[in-house]
Amino acid sequence: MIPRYQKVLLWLLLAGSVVLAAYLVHLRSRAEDQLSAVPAAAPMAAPVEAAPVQATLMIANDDNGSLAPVTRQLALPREKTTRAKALLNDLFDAYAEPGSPHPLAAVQAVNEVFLLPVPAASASQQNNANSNAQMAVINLNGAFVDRHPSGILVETLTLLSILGTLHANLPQIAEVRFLVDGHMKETLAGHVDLTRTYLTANDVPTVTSPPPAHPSAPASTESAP
Amino acid sequence: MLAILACAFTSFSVAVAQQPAASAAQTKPANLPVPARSTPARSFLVVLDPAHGGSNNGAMLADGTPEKNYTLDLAVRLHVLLNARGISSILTRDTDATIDDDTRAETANRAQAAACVLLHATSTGSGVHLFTSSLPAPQSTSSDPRRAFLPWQTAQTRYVTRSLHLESDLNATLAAGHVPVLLDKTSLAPLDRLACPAVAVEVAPLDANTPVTDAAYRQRIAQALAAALAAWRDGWRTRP
Repeated sequence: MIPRYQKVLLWLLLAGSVVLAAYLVHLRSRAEDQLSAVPAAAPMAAPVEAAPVQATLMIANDDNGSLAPVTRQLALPREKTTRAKALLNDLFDAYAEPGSPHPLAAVQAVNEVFLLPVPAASASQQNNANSNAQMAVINLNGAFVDRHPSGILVETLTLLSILGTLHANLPQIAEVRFLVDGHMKETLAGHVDLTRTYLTANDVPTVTSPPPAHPSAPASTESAP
Repeated sequence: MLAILACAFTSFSVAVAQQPAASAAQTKPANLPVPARSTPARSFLVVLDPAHGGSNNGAMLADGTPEKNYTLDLAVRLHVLLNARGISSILTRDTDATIDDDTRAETANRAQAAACVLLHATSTGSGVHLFTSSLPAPQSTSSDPRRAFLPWQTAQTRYVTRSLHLESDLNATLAAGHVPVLLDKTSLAPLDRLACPAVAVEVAPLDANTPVTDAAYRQRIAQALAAALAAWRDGWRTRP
């Protein structure tokens, strides 16, 4: 003979199982509805082909130590960090072309570019009135640095070419620092200092075409700083 | 014994005290103003810095010669030529030793040199490339005593103008010797840390037929640099 309380407990357990089963079916159908609703709600922008824009590359020349502006139509991203990276990689693609006046290895030069606000103290020291001034931290590719020619002139021109190209196309970049594969490196290829902060307004040469001969030295050429 | 030591110390002190006055009296022209210098009677000394050395080969020149060997050879040649002209000079290294940039700057700054010449070589470009520091010249020349202390990393700041004068002398002499010269500014670790008129000299091939390692070309460069430093010495005490 089954006791009465056990019969009641059995019926209660059966009723609870039926209720839980019904609730699970309800949850499943709700999850299906949510999953099916996600693609419709996700904002997926259609890929837009960037229209080529006019960009100025400051092209270095080893023969006369000059920087010359070269205007090109480039398809550049709108986002500033990727735009700066694309600009610099286009610049170094130009140097890798045959017959380049400043030949460099055909290796990706820039891994990343980070844009940061210029620290207030630094901006006030430089009397920088532009409140939107930014510092670019350029992370160079180690393979590119390893294959860069060694020499004061050639390294200086590479550096000035980077600074000049950024200054010409992204004038809000006031300061530039360099990393190599994410780490600080003392020199580019044994000469030019990579540890200091470069100011685009001061360090970029104002003379952008092959300079005239030095007045006291007829046989010489001069690249105005 | 104590008396002897005291006497010797007194004589030494007097000699040290009288030496600058006597030296200044000998060298001061009669009708020229005395330039304001912290050590007006110090002797004219040139510091030559052969770049690289030891494990740091520098650039590899066209014929496989490491830059460190070339710069040391040029520095020794220049040292000899300067001695022949009666100009004292010291080298930051005279062997194939690894010397860091701070030690090089420390050697030059302790010597209170009248001119510092950093010697480099490259196979890129042509002629001789002369570089001064790209650090900006100071905007204020106030006599604040705290300005007597120079930040190590940017010690060259106060000497930028005099470095440009030195560069101009080197340029004129090299150009007179029909060596193409290129003037520019750069940021070079030992150059920015030097508390003296300083120029980095980078020797490149003269032309397609005259590589940087050509012995006659190298001697020509050394002679031109020695002549320029002699000219610099002649105007040294009267320069601002």
